[in-house]
Amino acid sequence: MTNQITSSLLAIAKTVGAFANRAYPKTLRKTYLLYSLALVLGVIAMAYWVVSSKSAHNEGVWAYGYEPFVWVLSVAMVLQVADIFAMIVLSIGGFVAVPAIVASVVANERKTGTMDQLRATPTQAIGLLFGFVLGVPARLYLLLSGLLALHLFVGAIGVVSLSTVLLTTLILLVGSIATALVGAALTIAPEKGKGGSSTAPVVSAVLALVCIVMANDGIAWAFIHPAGAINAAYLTDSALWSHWLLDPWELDSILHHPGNLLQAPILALAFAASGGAMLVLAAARRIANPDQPLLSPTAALGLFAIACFALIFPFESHEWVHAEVMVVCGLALLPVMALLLIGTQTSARVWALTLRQSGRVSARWALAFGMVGIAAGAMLIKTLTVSDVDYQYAEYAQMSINWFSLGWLAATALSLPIFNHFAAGRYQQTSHRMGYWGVICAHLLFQMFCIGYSHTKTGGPIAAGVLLAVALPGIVLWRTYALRLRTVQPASAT
Amino acid sequence: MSDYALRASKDGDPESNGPYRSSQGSTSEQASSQPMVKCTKLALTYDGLRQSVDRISFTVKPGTIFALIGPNGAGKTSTLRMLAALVAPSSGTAEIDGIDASKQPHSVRQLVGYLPDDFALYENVTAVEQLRFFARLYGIEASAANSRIDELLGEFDLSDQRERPIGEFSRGMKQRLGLAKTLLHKPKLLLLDEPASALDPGSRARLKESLLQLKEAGQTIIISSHILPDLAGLADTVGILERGKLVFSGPLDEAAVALSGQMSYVIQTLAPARAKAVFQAFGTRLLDVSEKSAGFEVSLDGGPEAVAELIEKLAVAGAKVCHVAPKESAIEAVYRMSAAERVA
Repeated sequence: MTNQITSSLLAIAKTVGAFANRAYPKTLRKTYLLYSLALVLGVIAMAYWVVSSKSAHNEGVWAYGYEPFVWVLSVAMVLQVADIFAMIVLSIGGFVAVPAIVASVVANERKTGTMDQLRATPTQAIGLLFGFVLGVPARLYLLLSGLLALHLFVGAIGVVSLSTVLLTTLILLVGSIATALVGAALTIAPEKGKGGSSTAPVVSAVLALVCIVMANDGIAWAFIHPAGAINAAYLTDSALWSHWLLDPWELDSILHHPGNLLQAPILALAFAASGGAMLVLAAARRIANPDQPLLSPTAALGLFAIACFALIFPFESHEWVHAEVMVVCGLALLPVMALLLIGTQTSARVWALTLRQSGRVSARWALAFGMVGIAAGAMLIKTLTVSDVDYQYAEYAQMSINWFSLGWLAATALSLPIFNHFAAGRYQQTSHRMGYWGVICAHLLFQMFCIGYSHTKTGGPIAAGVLLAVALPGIVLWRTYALRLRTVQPASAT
Repeated sequence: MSDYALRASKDGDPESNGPYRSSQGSTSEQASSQPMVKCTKLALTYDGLRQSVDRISFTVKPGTIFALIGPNGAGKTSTLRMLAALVAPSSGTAEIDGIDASKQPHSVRQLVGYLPDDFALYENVTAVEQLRFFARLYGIEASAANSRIDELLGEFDLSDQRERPIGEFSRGMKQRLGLAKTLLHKPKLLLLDEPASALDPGSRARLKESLLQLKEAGQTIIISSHILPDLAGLADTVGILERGKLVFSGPLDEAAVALSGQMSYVIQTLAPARAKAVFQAFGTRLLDVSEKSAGFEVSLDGGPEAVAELIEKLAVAGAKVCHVAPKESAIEAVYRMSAAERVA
């Protein structure tokens, strides 16, 4: 077993080396190291200019109730600022540029047919995947290596605490690989010849947006993106980071929740590692057999569970959390659900065709509903826990739980068949696809409508909404049954 | 190419295999006793609906060329992709040198060299970088890879193009480089998907010559095409695919002999009027005759004997025969007759 793992790791390392050499011949290494050094010197020079300028104008930052922060021209201060600049560049490189490069290369490989040539070699699919993720961006990695060295150096000499530096470095590495895997998985998911070239910029743009949002706000959900976790790690430790990069009112708000700051980096690592591992399996499966969908039903449910956890976990971060956050979580869960279900198919017909295998389908459906049920249950338990702890808002929380949470979550759970049916039916044409999304939007709007009205404590709309949320999936289930009958008949006839 | 022929003929010799052939499954004794390719009821269905390949069965002997012919969309590429372990069959088995492609795809990939119709090369790297990259993926040690690359570039007349970006290559050069890349790991089976499509006549002739030399060296090749003249004089065995079904499969020479009972010939004479008189008097074995600019197109029943008798009579009548040739190659005749049978 150990030998097998070792040989597999060696094979992966060889493949990564092959990809790195293809993207980046040995002759260029010295040149890129020089570029990297120039980048470090540039960052230090810019830091010196900032510190000297700020200290000369005697600038400082004051937050209510906290010690004022004052700029002083010193080696330590310059290195601290240089470290901040380095971390910003490293984050952009790792969380935006790397996935964009990976996504565009994967898209290009599929477009030109060279992916099949790679698959025709005895290399394992997982080796190819890591070749893309670790080998292809080799130039960028080397370019950023100087800044990473600077980051480690400031930790080693104690300018920033070593634990923070090591933690952020770990988040940076794991997070970069995880986001690169997202880029690879999203690019490899569509049918061959579809969405390839456009997926890469879309993926990088979305990741960039998430990165920016998470790095500046949303500490409660900071762990969802590694940039947010790095932000949280620095906020717990670096006075410069917190006072310089945040407004005083933001700082005041964020520092009210030190627990979030402490747990965000660890959660980020767990989140990136578990999500990344599932994406590795999914993307490797797709590379190994392009006629199979990206996600197996189990992988889709696993990712859904992770997404549920990520959205449900941080409930206690805000006082106003209960009903509103549930809306946000639910709204986020539905597209996640839709994306994952789409990821379980190579084309819209496949789900319908799997209905032929009646024995398996019932198990899958049971599992799907089970997972959504668990998610809903977790959300409820979490909310109940919040109401106990956060006693001053207990009344508000109880109100949220009794009606909105239960009804709305049940509706969310029951909406799963809608996605199953419409994503898997015979709705191939554009008008049908639009219809599919239209129905989903209508369903969402109704749920929002219910929750909105429930704030006014009028029960009628809630009942109507829940009824609709039950009726729609009921109709869909019936339609699915009819579809199954149609697909089973030709199969049994042959 | 002669150098390559010599080396490839040593396939059974462990020393000639090198370290990167160690994983190959069978000994030379086994290889001689079993077909290189054995497909049994091989089928491929996309999305559970579209039947691309419909339960085809055929075998390919080692050291022969098998031509997979058929119109576009017949299932040729799908068949080759299943043999290359790029796609798993929906049912049935494909064994390469005794190894099941769906059960041990990685072992099969070590045995197979697959060249798609578009050659699928990286345009922004040089020829040598391309080959070096794939050599690493095949697990060939750096020193062995370098000598193998030099050897292949030399054999395919690309030595002086080694540092040139592939994007600047002509289609013929890309095809040669693709073939070189496919041969990097000394595969036992070459799978070539429409390798001559969109090539100029010179490049086609060159490709044919290369493939014949590989065959002489003992290489097993499966080549797909819908352009029959490309395969004339090349294939030993032929399989005709149509709508996913294998409608004919067998040795080409046997098929040609069987079909030669009814074959058409082009006959040029210097005295056409006398020739016409001979044709009229020849009897029922002359099925059809028409006069074309290139000469008479004559369909005969009776095989080579009938042809010999007709030529003799033409000579006796003073028709002065200056050229006799089959109107179509054996493979074209097999395909035509097969199609005619299906229509009937």
